[in-house]
Amino acid sequence: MDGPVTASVGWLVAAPLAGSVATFLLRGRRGASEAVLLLTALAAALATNGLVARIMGSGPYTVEIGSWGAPAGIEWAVDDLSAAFLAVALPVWIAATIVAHGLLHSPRSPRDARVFRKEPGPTARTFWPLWLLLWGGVNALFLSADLFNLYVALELAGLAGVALVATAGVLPALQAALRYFFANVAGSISFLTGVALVYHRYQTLDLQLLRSAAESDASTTVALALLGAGLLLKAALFPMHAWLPRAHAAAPAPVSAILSALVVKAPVYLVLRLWLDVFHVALPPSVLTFVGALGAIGIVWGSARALRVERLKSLIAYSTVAQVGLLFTAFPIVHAAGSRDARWGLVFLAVGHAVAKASMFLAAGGLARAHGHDRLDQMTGFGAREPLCTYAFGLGGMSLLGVPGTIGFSGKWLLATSGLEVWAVPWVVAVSASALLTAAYVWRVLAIAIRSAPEPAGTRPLARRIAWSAFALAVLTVALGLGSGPFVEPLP
Amino acid sequence: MSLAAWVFDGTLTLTLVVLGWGAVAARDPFTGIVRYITFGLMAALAWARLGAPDLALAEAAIGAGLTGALLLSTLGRMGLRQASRRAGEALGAAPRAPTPLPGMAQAWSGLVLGLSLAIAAVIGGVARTLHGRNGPGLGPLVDSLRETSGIDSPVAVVLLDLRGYDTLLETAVLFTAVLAVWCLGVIRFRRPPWPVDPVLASLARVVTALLVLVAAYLLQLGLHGPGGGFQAGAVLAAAGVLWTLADRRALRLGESRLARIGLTLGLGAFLVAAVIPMLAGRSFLTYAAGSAPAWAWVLETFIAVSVGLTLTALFMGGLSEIAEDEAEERAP
Amino acid sequence: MTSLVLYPLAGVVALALGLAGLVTRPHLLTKVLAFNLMATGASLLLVGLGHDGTASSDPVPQAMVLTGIVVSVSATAVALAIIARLSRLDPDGVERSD
Repeated sequence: MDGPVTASVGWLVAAPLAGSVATFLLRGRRGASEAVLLLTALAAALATNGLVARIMGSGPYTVEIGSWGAPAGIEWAVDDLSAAFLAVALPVWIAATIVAHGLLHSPRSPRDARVFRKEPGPTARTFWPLWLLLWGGVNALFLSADLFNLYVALELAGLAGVALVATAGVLPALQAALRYFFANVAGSISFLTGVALVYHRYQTLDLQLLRSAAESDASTTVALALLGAGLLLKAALFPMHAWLPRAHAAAPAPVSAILSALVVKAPVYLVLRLWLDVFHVALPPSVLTFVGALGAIGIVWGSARALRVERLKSLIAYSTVAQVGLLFTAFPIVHAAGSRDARWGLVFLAVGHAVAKASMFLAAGGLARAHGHDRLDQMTGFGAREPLCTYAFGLGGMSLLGVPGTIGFSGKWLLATSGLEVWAVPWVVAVSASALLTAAYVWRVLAIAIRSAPEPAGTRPLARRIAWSAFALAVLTVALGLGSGPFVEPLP
Repeated sequence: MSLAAWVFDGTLTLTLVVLGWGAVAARDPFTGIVRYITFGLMAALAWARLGAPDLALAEAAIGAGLTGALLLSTLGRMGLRQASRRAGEALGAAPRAPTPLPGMAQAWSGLVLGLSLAIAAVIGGVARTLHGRNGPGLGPLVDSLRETSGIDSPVAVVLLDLRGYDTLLETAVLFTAVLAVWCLGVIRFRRPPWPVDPVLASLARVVTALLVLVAAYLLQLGLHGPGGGFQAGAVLAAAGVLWTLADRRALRLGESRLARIGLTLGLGAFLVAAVIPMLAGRSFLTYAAGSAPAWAWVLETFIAVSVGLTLTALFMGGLSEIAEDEAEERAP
Repeated sequence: MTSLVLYPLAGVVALALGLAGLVTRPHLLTKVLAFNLMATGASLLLVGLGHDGTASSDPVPQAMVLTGIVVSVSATAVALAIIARLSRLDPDGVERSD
């Protein structure tokens, strides 16, 4: 049983999917679509609230779907890890939806921004259904406790993501969408092969049962490699990251926000779940060292490219590559320390990146709409014209850096202290040094913002709610940071 | 097992591998697609051999048939562009970029192939240790639950009851595909009279009636044996594809409200089945005791209709619209 | 060891060939064929591993593969729609991979 009806966790999946059917049948009619979006957000909020309340009250729990539990049926499992991601996903989705709605319906600039095109691009008829399908798919990913169910959810989220990237309609978006597609499908099939091996080795697909039955042998290790390879490809870990910058830069800004914040996080969460939780007995530690090293290279590579690119959204996309690298650099620390603190450090980093990156992309979307383009060299001085977007970008950047007070700082602090306790020095250095590289490209943008310059021709004022949504998310990184204070104890 | 089994299985698997290699290594895509369709039919044979008749039906209809139709249709669309591009080139348009040295490309291909086969060898080695050694899987458990559930066919009880949530997400994936295709493709054609191929149209009329019968049969059979909503839907889609080829008016069906409702029937039915229990105090997708066969029947029927419409819509390749002017007609 | 072991092994080979094709072949349609080949290979592995001499009695892998076939055709349709539109905007780009 799942508690009162309104708080049932099933709404997290049922509401967005039902909303997508509804918006499709309503043919994107203005008032009706808004009503559906509101209802969906409300249902998701109630379900998330119920979930968080229940887990804080009575701890982790599972929900049986259908009248059958594992191993015959599928279950949802909510623990502190998945609850953290689901709780953070809610404000990100709401903010991104507000911005998407604003961009879709606000008057366009004369020099048509390639953010949203009219034909045959994302008309409201197919955009909102796809958007809501992605929402449902991502929620399904975080909730699921069944290996094959994870595969189907990965395919749903991946396909919806590809479609949303392609809605921009222009040639670079289509090429980027296709690359994203091939990366996704290769990752999915690798994951499926891993599922096949796990099923035939252990005769079950349920993660809880697998956790108790897992043993360290050749077939399990190969299966973990396949599962991991698929997920790492979807998470864009160096060197399998090539698809990400173009896809996230070419997509409409709210889509990029969700892709970078949540769709890329889900594979990271799944690697954490499968490698360090369910199958941790079968994981050779050298694999984590290898993955951590790739992550470190990713930090350097992503940050270096972010300093060179000409477009704001490309910069933010390369920042995602760097930040994903950072997350994987933390994996060896979590494994070596084995402590709750280290795990929470990684979760704070991941969750903080989700919120910060979403706010940065939404701010970039607003700036692109205001200017008609997102070329950095032609945006000089935007700080004075669009202060909210600038603050949003700056605050988000500070959370990525790890400025004290933000959740990024809490994450780095926990990881650094746990890492030092077990002498995982190189990883701690990598986690800390990434701040310097992040600062470099964040400063690059802020410097352009504060330099005074005459207003470029063709600049239009931006709808207030777009800027405010981006700013609100950025403020959330600080709120979360302050809220995570109790977790962060000073060194003795 | 007997020598005959080895010979049969050896030949079939060898054919599979050779056809698969041929499909991917073919010089021109058309040959590759044809080889892939044949590969799909061989795979259907393999499923039958492996005791999975549902999969054989689905692979033949969807994996080989509809996928092949989609591929050929896309190739045809591309072919028109390239023909016009080559015509343009002959008139002095920009030449294509020079291709890299063939030696480098071959070395790279060889390296990738070698690496892939090495990975395959590792997986294969592990697979051999797992083959048939670790137990009968969840089969016996499913068997024991069939009576409680009330659904006869083991595959159906897994698809619609035990793991119905997977099938729900699967209908969502199908829906996503239609949305993506509609968002990306527009088929423009001139005002009426619509071109109709009379021979194909009369064939379509006859065959459609037969196909609907076959689909209905597969549907009702599906709860007791091989068959079911997806296979029935694929057969209906075959009729849909035939109509699309025969009569351009069929393309306009994508606009109709009935068609739109039909496309969402599968996902919609599953969501209803999932939400009603929640409102009644049970968990997500939890059928009331004994009601599983009824739900399964409803779900299968709705899946069949929506899968048929979805696959047809995927083949049509986009929303249709009538050109305001005498714009060039693009073939679907 | 029965002759049925050949099927999962063929599946693994198909996986390898598909992967190689996906990475190396330039034509976009060939890449689509390649990932379909990979998917069928993974499916053969999934269903084929469960046999120990008699025909399978385990419906769970069969249900999984059925879902997989439907998901594959959906993915193929999306990829082909993108490719078709790409070919309209950039006819040459289809023959060389980016």
